Amino acid sequence: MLFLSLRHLIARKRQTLLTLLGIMLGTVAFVVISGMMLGFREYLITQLLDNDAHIHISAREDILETHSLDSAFYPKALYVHWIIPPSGNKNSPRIQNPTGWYKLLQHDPRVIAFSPQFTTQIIIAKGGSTVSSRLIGVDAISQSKVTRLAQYMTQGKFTDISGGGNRLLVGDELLKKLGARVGDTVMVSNGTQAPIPFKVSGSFSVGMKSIDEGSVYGDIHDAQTINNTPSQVNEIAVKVVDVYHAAEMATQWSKLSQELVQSWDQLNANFFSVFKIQDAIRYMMTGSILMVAGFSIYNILNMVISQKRREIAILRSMGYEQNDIVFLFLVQGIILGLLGGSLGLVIGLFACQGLSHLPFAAGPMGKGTGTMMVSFNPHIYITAGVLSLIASVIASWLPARYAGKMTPIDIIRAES
Amino acid sequence: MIEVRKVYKRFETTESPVLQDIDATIQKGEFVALLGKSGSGKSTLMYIMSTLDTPTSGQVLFNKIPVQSMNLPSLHQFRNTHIGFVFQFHYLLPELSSLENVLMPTRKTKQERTRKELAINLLKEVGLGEKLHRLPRQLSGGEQQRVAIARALIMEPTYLFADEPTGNLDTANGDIVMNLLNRFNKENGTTIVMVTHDPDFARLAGRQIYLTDGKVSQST
Ligand SMILES: Nc1ncnc2c1ncn2[C@@H]1O[C@H](COP(=O)(O)OP(=O)(O)O)[C@@H](O)[C@H]1O
Ligand SMILES: [Mg+2]
Repeated sequence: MLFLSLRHLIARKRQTLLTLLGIMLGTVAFVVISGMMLGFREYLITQLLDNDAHIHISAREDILETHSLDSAFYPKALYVHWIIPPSGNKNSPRIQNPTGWYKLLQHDPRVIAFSPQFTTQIIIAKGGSTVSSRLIGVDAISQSKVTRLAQYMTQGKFTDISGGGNRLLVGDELLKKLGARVGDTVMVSNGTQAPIPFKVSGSFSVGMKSIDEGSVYGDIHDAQTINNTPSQVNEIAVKVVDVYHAAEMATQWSKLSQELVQSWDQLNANFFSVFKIQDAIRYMMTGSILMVAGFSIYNILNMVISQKRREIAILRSMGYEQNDIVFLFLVQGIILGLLGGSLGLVIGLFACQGLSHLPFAAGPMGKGTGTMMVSFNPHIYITAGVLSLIASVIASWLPARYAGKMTPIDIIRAES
Repeated sequence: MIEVRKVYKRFETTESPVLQDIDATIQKGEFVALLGKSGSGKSTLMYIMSTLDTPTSGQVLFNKIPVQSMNLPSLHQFRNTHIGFVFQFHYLLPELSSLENVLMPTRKTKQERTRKELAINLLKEVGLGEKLHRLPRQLSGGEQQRVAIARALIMEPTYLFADEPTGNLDTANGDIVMNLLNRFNKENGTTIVMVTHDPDFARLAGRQIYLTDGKVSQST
């Protein structure tokens, strides 16, 4: 029967080619669109994972509510009416029991490393120019185990700041804004205290504008001193073994304490919801292309079957069974699906390779890799192949089953 | 031997039966013509005899085995190896050459290689030795019907059923077809049941069964 199926396909060359083209286009579209979307996504995720800790344990802001001071000021009053209600932060946010956290993290086998931080807003002045930025006070050794920041140093070493001594690592962009160079001394203040001189001992560039333009690294003790809050910690950065379990761990930990515990993917949830929309668009587009291709298979086969009723009758009278007839037509759809699908995969692969060499200017994420980011994840190709095959099998199964149900005697009676 | 016993056929859509209590026996090697006016039930009887259709009541037996007792696979197998069909229309597969069309029944049991020689011989015997690789549309109506006869004989069937095989042909081509059927009946001993309304062609058969209004009115 395969022999006859092939003959049928060859006999209607034009329809066969058009259908092949349709399935091929659907597959190519899926491969290319997915390659581009997932390529960018993979790049984004590596950026997120490289530059940032997997889990952040941070102190909650303790914001004053209208009535949160009632009992302190008027312990006996039933109700206090404030003409000007109290507002602001109770005190600077801090992690309540850092040593408890350290113990927990040290003993958790899922944790690779962690790094306590004290982050505070500062004003940096150099000559006439002042810039406000975020000073991240870290223990350089612990921090370099948690993020790959040390790899992005443009001048100096990341560990230059360890041990204190009022030294800073400044993002390249920030340095430019400030008009300073590595080796210069700048004045740093938290806004309420007198400025203290700091030496710029290195610079970095991670490729994300928000970090390169707004962040300064220093030793944790120096940061605590500037803020006049010795030994306070307001964040612990954690690196874990399995990044895809980070969210689960974060949720588990946040139940243990009053601190805010968030994993990298929870922090970037907005990205992930965009990914979901992208996926929906991707599948919908491909689905509609394949649906058109599937419909063309369906229509062609239906037409062919109604033209070939007599031939079905004679085949049945020769002793061919219902299943042979189903096979005769089903196999045509499967051949079209397999052939169109694999052609589509190959062409899609080449198209993706072409795209991945295309120069691509810096996007919203900063530097990028200089060329278009395209994913060659085998899952894309497997999904595309399976989708095109499913579409063509369904499209040919329905008419083929119908053809199988025709009995020779009914056809012959209808013909004569 | 084909035995037809009390075969009765009525279609759901019609009131009166198409066939009423038909009894007939066809011996091995016979050439029987089914005759009658248009609408008398010839085709219906032939399709019931040839296993393609089933009677409302009654039985058809091949060598004492009732067709109803065969399961589907063995019925298909029986049709493939023991029965050949020729219809009024040739029903050739337009994508295949004469030779490939003749060999089509052999593919069911993967005998297309072993029977190729026979196929060529059959096509030679029906006068198409030069046109083995022609497509049906490149043949005349008479030639197409001759390819169909060769196809019906390729499995060397015990029985050949033909429904007005000459119905679509001119007299000259009709004669050729009739002579071929006669020859295969004589030389190979193929049992032939042929429906026709042409008394001249029917005379060439060894025996005639006349049908009138669904009953056997005369049998020689
Ligand atoms: N499927 C059917 N439904 C109803 N009536 C039918 C059907 N097939 C045949 N008939 C009727 O049965 C009768 C005999 O038909 P048929 O055997 O084809 O006659 P013949 O071959 O002798 O011309 C006709 O009257 C025809 O109209
Ligand atoms: Mg008839």
